Amino acid sequence: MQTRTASVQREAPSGAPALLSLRGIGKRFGAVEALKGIDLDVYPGEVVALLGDNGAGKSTLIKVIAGAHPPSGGSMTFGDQPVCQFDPRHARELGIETIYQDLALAENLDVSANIFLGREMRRSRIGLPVLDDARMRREAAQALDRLGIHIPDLGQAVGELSGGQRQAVAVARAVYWKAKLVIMDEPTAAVGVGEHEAILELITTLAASGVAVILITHTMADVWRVANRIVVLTRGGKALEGSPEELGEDAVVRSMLFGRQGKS
Amino acid sequence: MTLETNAAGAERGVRLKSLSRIAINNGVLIGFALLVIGLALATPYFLTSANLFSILVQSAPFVIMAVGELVVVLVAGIDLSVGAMAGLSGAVAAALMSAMGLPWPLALAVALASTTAVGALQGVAVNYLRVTDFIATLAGLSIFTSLTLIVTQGNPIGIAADGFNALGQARLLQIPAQVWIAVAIVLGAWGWLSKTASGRHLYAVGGNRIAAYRSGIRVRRLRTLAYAFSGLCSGVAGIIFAAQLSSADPNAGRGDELTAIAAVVIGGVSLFGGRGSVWGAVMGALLISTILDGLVLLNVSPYYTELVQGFVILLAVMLDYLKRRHDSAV
Repeated sequence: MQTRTASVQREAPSGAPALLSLRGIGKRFGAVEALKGIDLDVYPGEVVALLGDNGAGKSTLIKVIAGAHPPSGGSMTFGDQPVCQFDPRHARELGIETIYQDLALAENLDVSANIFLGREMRRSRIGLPVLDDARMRREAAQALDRLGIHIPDLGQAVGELSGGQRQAVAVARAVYWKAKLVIMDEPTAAVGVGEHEAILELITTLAASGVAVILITHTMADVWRVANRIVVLTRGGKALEGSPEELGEDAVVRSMLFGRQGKS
Repeated sequence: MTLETNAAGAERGVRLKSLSRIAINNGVLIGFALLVIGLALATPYFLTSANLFSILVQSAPFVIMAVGELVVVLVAGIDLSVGAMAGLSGAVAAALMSAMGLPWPLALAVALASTTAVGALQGVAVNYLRVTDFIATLAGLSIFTSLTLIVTQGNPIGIAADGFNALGQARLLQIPAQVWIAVAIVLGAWGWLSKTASGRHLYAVGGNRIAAYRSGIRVRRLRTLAYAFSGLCSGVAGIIFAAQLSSADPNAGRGDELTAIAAVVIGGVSLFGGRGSVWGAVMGALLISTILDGLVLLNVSPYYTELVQGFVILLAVMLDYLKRRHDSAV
């Protein structure tokens, strides 16, 4: 357990340009200022833990990145290109995949149907395009394999899988479609102990393959296991940023809990 | 001693449980089998080939409407207007032939195009104008019933075209034309739902609309297409009704939406969307036709028909609930 943590490269790969850069991102909902001047750089292959109390602005921030909320101010660049179009489909085309807490999977369809949903492989049969299920299943099995995920029966409906397996399917889908940045919203919130471990390993594998991960979680232990960098938000602003070692658990918890007092 | 008894009791419990599971999972098949056995014992006419053929012929238009209803139910919708659209289709075809003298293939094409179009309009109302599916298709039911009466002026319109009437009266290789038509539609729908991407998307939309949307599926367009397909199927059923009688009856299709919905429910199609197959809908339609046939053979007054149908629907829904509870308990 500890060895795996140690093997994670801790500092952001210096020299490599940032994959995602946010500068002065703000978001207003009427009179409420949900985000205030957020600066954030995320590099390929690193895991950034986004922490904060409820209502601190974590969800708003990831929705801005995922294209669900256009920001009210500031700028965003992704892979050196300024992003001016904010909608989920465009974000996806850029390579930003969000794995939502409520899981964007069709529970009545099987694993490979979900991985390929909306982008099915077809073959021609008497001139008509039909689904190539055999090939999709093979590719799905390989994609899961590469991530070290074991799901015995790919023909099983996703609804029959455990919470952890579903997360894994969602991650496999993101990876298969060449996501460069994967945003995970509380991936360990609804899973058992054994699966919890598997998901952390999955995040590590994902980062090791060069994918950037933004992780929202409330579990401090997870942060110390997988994150290269911690960003704490309080009341819509960035309260603290740094590697887990240089910050220390105390400072992080204090900033999450007492960020308000610390600021005023 | 006590341990032994417990073990035996547990074993019996397990055996009972697996028995009840088999009963629940195959409830419709078992019900069908019991029905056939019961009817065969009750009346010697039931198992004659003439009667079995007549069941098949009677059920053809209902099978077709049930397939249309199935596609709508799969995307978590409901279409209450299938019977009314069937009536409209026959009336439009007959009026075009008798009043305007159109050749029958053209009249047929226009009739099918018009029910497909009104089906699509209902789909637009549900998916783009946000009218609840129940209300939109209930309004459709009312509008199309009235349109049928307006077109026919309340009287049957005779159809003289032999080619048209052959669709409900001719035989090919001993098999009646309407059975061939039903088979073609069933096979086509099966291929669409299980072999194509858009068929899979229908299931995805019914299973998790948000996931489907996030996967880039054009949810509203696809759901509108489902309603249009239901309109097309109803149109075909209406043509068969008219061809069988050589005339368009102003009351054709009246109340058949209940039969179509009952067929999909009995066939194990989930009314919440995303679950169900063409075979289920076909089985359901055949089961209902067999029950109706049995009632006639047993000389039951036709006043009881809808009562029996209502109880069959209730039974099927309860069975579905038991199955769901069983599945979630496992």
